[in-house]
Amino acid sequence: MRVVLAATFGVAGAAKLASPAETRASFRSFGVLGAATGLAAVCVPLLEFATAGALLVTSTATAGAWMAFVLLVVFSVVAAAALARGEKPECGCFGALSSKRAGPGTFVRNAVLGAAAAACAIVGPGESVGRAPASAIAAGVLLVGLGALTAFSLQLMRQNGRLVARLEVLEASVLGATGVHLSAGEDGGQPVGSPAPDFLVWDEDESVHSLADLLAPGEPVILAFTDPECRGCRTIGPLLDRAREAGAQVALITRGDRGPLPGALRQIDREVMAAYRAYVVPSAVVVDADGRIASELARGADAVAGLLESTVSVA
Amino acid sequence: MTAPTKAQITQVRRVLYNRSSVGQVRDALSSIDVLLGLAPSTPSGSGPTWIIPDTGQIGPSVIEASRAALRIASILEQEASAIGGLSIPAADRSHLVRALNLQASAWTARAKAWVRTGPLSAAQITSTLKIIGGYESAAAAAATKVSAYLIATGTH
Repeated sequence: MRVVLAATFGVAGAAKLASPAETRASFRSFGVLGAATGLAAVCVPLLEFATAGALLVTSTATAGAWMAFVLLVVFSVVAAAALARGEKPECGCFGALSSKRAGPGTFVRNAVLGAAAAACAIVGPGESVGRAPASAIAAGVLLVGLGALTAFSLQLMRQNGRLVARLEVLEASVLGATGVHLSAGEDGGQPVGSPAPDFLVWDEDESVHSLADLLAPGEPVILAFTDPECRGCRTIGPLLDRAREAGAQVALITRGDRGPLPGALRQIDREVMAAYRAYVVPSAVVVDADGRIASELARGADAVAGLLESTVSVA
Repeated sequence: MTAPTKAQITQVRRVLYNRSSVGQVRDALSSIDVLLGLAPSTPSGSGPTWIIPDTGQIGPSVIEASRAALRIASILEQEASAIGGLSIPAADRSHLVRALNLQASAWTARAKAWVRTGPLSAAQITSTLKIIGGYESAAAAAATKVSAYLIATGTH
C-alpha cells in the first residue's frame, strides 16, 4: 500500500513539474493568484516528491503517510472551496496526464488515498520496503518511470507545438504580419493577360461553380484566396464586403482540406490556388470579363486591400 | 427537345460535380499519372516496371494504377445510378446515364488491359485500343446531347 501511495505521489509530482504551464493554470483555477501561483507550482510537486520518498523509507514511512493524508485533505478542501464558489477548476492533479475538471471523482479518489494514508500512519509502516516482494517494488518503479516518461513526452510535444506556432508568427512577420506562406520560394501569380485557369469550387450548399459561372454577369471578378487558419486573412473580410457593396464581383476561395469557411467557396484541396500560383494567403487577383488575368497577384492583407481599393475605384 | 430548367441542371450537377467524387476522381487520375510515369515530372524515357522479369508478373505500380482506374469506373457507375433516379427529362437522363456508363466501361477496359499477362499480338492490342476508343467516343457523343448540364472545365 505504501508503494502504491508513493508511486501515486511520485507520478503526480513528476507530472506537475513536467508541465509547469498546465500546473500554474490549474492552481490559478483553484484561486491561487499572483506570484503564489509559480511558487505553488514548484512547492506542491516537491512536497509530493518528499511524501513519496518518505513513504518508501521504513523509518519515515509513518511521517510520510501523515504528510500524504494532510496533503490529500488540503487538496480536497481547496477543491471543495472552489466548487462552492461556483467555479469549475481544472484538477491538474497529474499535470498534463489528466486534464479533467475537479468533481465528485476527485473527492472519491482523494478519500480512497486518504484512507490508505491514514491506515499506513495508524497501523504503521509494516513490512520494510527492502523485504517487500521484488515484483511490488519493480511495479512501483515501473509506474513512476512510465509516468515520468509520459510527462516528458507530453512536454516535448507541447514544446514542438510552441515551436510551430512561433514559426507561424515569424512567417507572418516576414510578410508584414499579414499573411502566411503556403509554399516557400516563389513569388507566384500568373502573367497579366494570360488566360485565367478554369476551376470548380463549391459553396456552402455544396453547389458547384466554375470560373465561367463567376464571369457570367459579364463583369470582372476578384478571386481572393484565404485559409481558415490564417489570422491575417480575417482582416480582409470587411474589405471584401465593402468591395461587394461598391458593386465589385468578389469570390472568396478557401482551402478545401480545412473545413468550410462561412461565405467562402471551397476547393477540393488547394488546386485552384496552385493553378493561380497563389502561394500566400491572403492573396487576390482580378480576372477580366474575357477570362484573362487582369492584375498581378496581390500578396498579403495590405496588398489585397490595395488591389480591392484600386479595382473598386476603377469600377 | 425542351431545355432543362435551372433546378434540373442543379440536380444533375450535384451528382456529376459532387465535391467528394470529383476529389476522388482527381486523386485517382493523379495516382495513375505517377504510377504509370505519365506525370510531367517523370524523367524522359523512364516508366514503371510493367512485367517483373524474374516472375513474369505485373509490376506493383501497374497493378495499383489498374485499381485506381477501377475506382474511377466505380465512381462513374455510381453517378450513373444516381442520375437514373433524378426527375429530369427522360431523354436527357438516358443520355447522361449512357455517357457515364460508357466512360466507366472505358476505364474498366483500361484497367483490365494494363494488368493483362501473356503474349499479345498486334491485332489484340489494336482491338483493345479500338474498344477503349469506341467507348470514349460514344460517351462523348452522348454527353454532347446533354451539354446544358455540364461544366466545360475538362474535369469530367
